[in-house]
Amino acid sequence: MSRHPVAPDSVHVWRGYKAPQKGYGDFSKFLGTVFVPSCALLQPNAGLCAYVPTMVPPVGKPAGVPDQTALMFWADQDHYAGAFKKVAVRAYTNLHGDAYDTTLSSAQFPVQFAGDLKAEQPYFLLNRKADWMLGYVYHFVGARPQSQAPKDFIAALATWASSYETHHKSSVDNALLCVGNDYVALWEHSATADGSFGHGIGNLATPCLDRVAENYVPPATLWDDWPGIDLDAHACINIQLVRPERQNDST
Amino acid sequence: MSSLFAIGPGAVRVWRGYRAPTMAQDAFFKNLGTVFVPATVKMQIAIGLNCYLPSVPAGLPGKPDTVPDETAILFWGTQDTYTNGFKTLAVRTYTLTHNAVYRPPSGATFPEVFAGTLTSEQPVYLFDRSADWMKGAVRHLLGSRPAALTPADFQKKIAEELASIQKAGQLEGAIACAGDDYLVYWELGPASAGRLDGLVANLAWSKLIDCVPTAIDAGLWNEWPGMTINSGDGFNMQFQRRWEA
Repeated sequence: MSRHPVAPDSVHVWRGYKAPQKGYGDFSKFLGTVFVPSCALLQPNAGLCAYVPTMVPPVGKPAGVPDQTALMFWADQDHYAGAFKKVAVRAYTNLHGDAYDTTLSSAQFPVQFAGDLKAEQPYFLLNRKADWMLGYVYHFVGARPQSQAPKDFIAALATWASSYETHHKSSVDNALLCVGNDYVALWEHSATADGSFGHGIGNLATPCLDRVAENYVPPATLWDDWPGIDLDAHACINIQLVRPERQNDST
Repeated sequence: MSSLFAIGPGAVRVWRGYRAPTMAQDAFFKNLGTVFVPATVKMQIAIGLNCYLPSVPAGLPGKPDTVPDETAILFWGTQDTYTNGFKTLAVRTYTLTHNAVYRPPSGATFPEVFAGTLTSEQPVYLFDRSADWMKGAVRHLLGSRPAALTPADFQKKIAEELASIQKAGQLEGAIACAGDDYLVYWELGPASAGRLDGLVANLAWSKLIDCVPTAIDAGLWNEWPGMTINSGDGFNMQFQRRWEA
């Protein structure tokens, strides 16, 4: 399988909150039967290079923590913008419908961390290219401790991020961080599964999700009989996309 | 005619769509041209779409809101072909692209053979024989109920006119659907002066649309801005069916 390493600012970092009128079961079913598999099958030919969707376990999760997260890596930001020139991507984009609370849900490209954290701005902590579809993706989602003010929570995470470049697990080649007033989300990418992930972030937030993503191979194409993905059974997945070959991808 | 082209008259979804008030008319046209119409073709050929003829009466001068803003007839191999399509991701995805664009009572149903009377919102076909609507001349008539007629009287008079067309037997195919306040009617075959006069005489507002053969020269993943769609356009989409590949 050829590699598709991409720059760390070529990822759309999604934090989704279910629409208030939707029950969690319906939300999970919609995402699993249509939304997540559509993203995985409609967009690689438009430049999607890696896709890591995650359902955050709902039991005990504070409302301010996203119900779903996703990383969507593109060849670069121009490919993301250009994807809308294609019918397949326009159709996928029209799907958002009423699944999400659109006043809270959003996605942005990250910027390089430079000492301060701004709520709802994703950051990359290491400035290296990586192919997130291959290897291991660790994901942590945590809630702000109730006793801590949002400002102090974010400041503590900024301090944590400041030491990341010199103290992270050695095999990690890329990491993404996004904080809100009530949550923190961290993703790390590594070529190996050994050693500990997270660099101690679990000491700063109440864990809602703390695991390595499962590699998931879709068993069907767009036009096969297939009910979709059971996201209760496969809650945090690194979907193995069928990517078109690119030139100069062997490095 | 090859048996492969023998598309049954009952395996057609008859769509009557009403634009959601939250969607501006320009955005509605843009969505139709850039997403819905091309996605209908490109995402559904592989599971058995045989013919697709959309029309867009939205915005026509004088059109009452009770007359649909977009209509379409979509022919499948069989009714089961359509039903089984929902087992595929492509059809589930395509179907859910519609949510934010249309308002109730938008919907589609299969027709029944016409036996002289009409039931509100139940499509009918007039000729119980196979035809290939993609390859012929198709005209689409839409109109509204005259205020002086009750819905029941309106449907009765329309049924009388349809019976006359059916009896004349000059067409390869014809499909109609009357609501309480509107009529939509499609016919396949050579145009004939005066054939539609009886229907038009029982409509307060009406519009006849020619469904123009139109091909999309792009795939799902090609860069393509989409079709330009204007008020009153009608299309007979041209594509290679899965059994023609």
